[in-house]
Amino acid sequence: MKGFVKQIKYEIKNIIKSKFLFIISILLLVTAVVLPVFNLISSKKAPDGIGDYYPMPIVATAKRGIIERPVYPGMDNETITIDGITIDSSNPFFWNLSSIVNEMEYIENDKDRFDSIEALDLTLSLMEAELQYYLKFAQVVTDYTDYRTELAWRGMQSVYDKFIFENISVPEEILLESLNYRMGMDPEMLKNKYLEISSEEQLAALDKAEEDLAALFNILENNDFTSYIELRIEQEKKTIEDLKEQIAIQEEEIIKNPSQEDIINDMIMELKRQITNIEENTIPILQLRLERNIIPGENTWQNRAISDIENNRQFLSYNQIVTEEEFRQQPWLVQQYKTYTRYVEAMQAQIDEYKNAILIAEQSIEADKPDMKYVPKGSRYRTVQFLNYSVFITLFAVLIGGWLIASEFQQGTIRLLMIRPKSRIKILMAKFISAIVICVIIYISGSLLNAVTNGICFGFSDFAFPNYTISGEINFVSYYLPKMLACIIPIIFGYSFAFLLSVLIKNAAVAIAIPVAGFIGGSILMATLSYGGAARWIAYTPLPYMQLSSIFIQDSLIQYYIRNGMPINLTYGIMLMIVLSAIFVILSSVLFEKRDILH
Amino acid sequence: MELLRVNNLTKIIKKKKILDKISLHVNSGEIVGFLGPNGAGKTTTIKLIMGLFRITEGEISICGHDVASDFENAMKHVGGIVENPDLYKRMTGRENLEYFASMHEGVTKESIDGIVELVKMSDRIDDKVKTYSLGMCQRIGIAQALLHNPKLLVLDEPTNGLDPIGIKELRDMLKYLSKEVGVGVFISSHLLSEMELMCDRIYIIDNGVIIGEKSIHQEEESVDDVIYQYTFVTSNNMKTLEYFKELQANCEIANGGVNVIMKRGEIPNIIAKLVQENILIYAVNQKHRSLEQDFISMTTGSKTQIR
Repeated sequence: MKGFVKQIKYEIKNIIKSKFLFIISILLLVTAVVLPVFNLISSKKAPDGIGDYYPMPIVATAKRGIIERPVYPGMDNETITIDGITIDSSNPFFWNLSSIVNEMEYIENDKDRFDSIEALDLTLSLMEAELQYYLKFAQVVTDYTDYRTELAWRGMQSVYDKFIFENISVPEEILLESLNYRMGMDPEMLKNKYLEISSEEQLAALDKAEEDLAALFNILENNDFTSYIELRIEQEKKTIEDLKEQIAIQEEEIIKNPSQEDIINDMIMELKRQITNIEENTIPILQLRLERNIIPGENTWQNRAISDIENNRQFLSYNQIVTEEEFRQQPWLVQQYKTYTRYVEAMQAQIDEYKNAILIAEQSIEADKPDMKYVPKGSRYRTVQFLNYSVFITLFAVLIGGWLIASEFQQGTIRLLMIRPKSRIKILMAKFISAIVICVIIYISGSLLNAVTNGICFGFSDFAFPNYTISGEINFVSYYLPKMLACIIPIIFGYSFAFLLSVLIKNAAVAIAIPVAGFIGGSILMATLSYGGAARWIAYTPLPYMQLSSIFIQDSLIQYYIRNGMPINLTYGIMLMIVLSAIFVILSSVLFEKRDILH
Repeated sequence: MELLRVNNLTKIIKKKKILDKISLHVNSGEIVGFLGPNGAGKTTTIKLIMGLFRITEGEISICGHDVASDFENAMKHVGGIVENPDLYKRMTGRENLEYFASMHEGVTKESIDGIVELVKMSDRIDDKVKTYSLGMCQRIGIAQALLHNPKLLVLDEPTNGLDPIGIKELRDMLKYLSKEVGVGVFISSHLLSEMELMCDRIYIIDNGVIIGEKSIHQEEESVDDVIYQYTFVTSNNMKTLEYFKELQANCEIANGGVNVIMKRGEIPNIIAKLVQENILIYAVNQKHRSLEQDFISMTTGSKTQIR
């Protein structure tokens, strides 16, 4: 045993003496360190490539405001000035303001558009109200990511309501004309909602609209997040009431039109789904936002997690497994999945994925420590991405494996080697193990170097956060290390294959070329066969598992195949590669033991 | 002591019989030559002895260890070169030796230094092998064969690429090793003159069969039986040639005389007979050695191969 270890030591020394392999090894290690530094430098570079070019502005005067445009349209720095207040084009309300200003000028010059001059005046004053409303927002909110941007759309109805009730005495046809022009008002609705109610009710509604607007402006000016959420919840509850009303209407409709029952039932189901979504998804999330003070719009991991919860819950509500009978009735499902079992399998996998995403998001928010996926520029994410490094190490291992024995034949050194007092198998195994030791050392040290460099470049604190799984949170080391170590198996697999070929063919170039061609050809084959529904049998071959790292990395091509129904089983794949590697090694020993050294 | 024994060794490669029941042995302190034209089976025999080929039939034992069944122990006692001494070109001479030494037990750095000294490579041992000449590679090849102090040396054409001084040094070294240390040497070569100077005994192989065994120093004792080439310069070369032909001797006219190959003991009778026939004899030259002629007359291989 001691002699064997010594032999391996000398074999390693022998391999490293090959300048070519030595340089590649060093390059592989350098890559691991340089990549994070490179990423850091490129992320710090200024993102805009437009340059410092300021053309002379063109000034256009609309009646209600002054619009300044640069010579080259679309190049930014367009501004609009209304009542001495200048708003530039990066403001989220710039386009609302400028389009209203433009349109006001346009309809003033095109008076024939309206039946009466009164209607024109009324329209202009409605637009003026809108303009003032947006101007108020534009002065406070200057950024699209500000949650209060969204608030502006929520208040529009109140602006209209207030305007209508203030002008309730205007003749109906004039009111209708300008409201129809501006907001597509339906005559029925105008009557029902605004005109044919008592004057007390009209006054109360005006008060309500004014009150609502005041509340809105209060949130806007004081940046009152709590009130904002309360307002949102209130509105969502109102939406539920509306939906329930619609359901009641539809139920009446069934009685009227029994023949349409199926279609109407579908509609009712959709409405009920919307209610459930608001009750179980939208409102709890708003409450969660309030509780955790997660302000929408801001580009924080909490917001990404929240939208993950929101979206995946919505996906879940739409992805329900239908019964076998229903499955048979839907030809596109039959065409895509062939059998019901496969359909259920695929759907279950999909549902599990959604549930998993929700779980990770919830746990991240609950612990106030983000999962890796919410910190894509962090050290953890980058370190996991670097698992793809194992692909390069696999190619390197193939290079050594194919070269190792064949080169002994090609150089003729095999003759001096085989006359030593060691059995052929011992010599072969010493060579086999020494090269794999080199590959594994480079792989592990490269991966660790990369992790450390990532820590230096992007902060070690990110490593301290946990990752989340169905079974709870785990620290990053326990998350990453098994994956990193598992990626050694494809390295060994490719290596043993090249090694066998090296013994068989005794030509290094061929012994290297065949596995590399297999690797590339395998990827192409997978891509071709998996286009539009994965070829399931591929999951039983080593092809997808040869790139084990991509199975671990989100949004990789193999992840896409899996979503398309490729029944990837990690344990199976790893066992398959181990068994095949063992067969390759045994086969190469047997062949090597029996053969004459003809060279 | 018998170091190498080959018994009824047969080797078949791709249905072709390369060796047919050859037997030979090498004793301690003996240098044994192995002669034969190209393709006779010399290298095949050596590869079989060194375990590079698998034996079809027969057996080989080194110091009592069977090569096929007890490879590791057999190889502990033998060092050798098979064909060219191909080394790792990317490494230095010393690294090559250290690498091979790692597969033997008990080879120290000092003993490597000693062997490098012995093959006179101390100056260049730390240079890369790719800068070496063939002769230098041959020296390192011999060094690696000696690393573990083997009892038996098996050398396949070790004089290839060596200059005349190198050949002399090798000869002296092998003589020293066999006579003083008691190493047995089994050596194959094309260079007959070399064999004669070096070997105690020679096996001649042709077409996979051993066709002769010569003991060089024995022959020197009974001089009359030794076959030489003689050149007769006479007054009537044609008549002399006819006379030799009657004796069915290997003869030809060359350089103004008649060349004939025969045993030393027969010459006085022939001279007497020629004198009786009234042929005047001006000179009779004896060529120093006649192993080459032995070899040529014994082998059926292409005679042009022998230089």
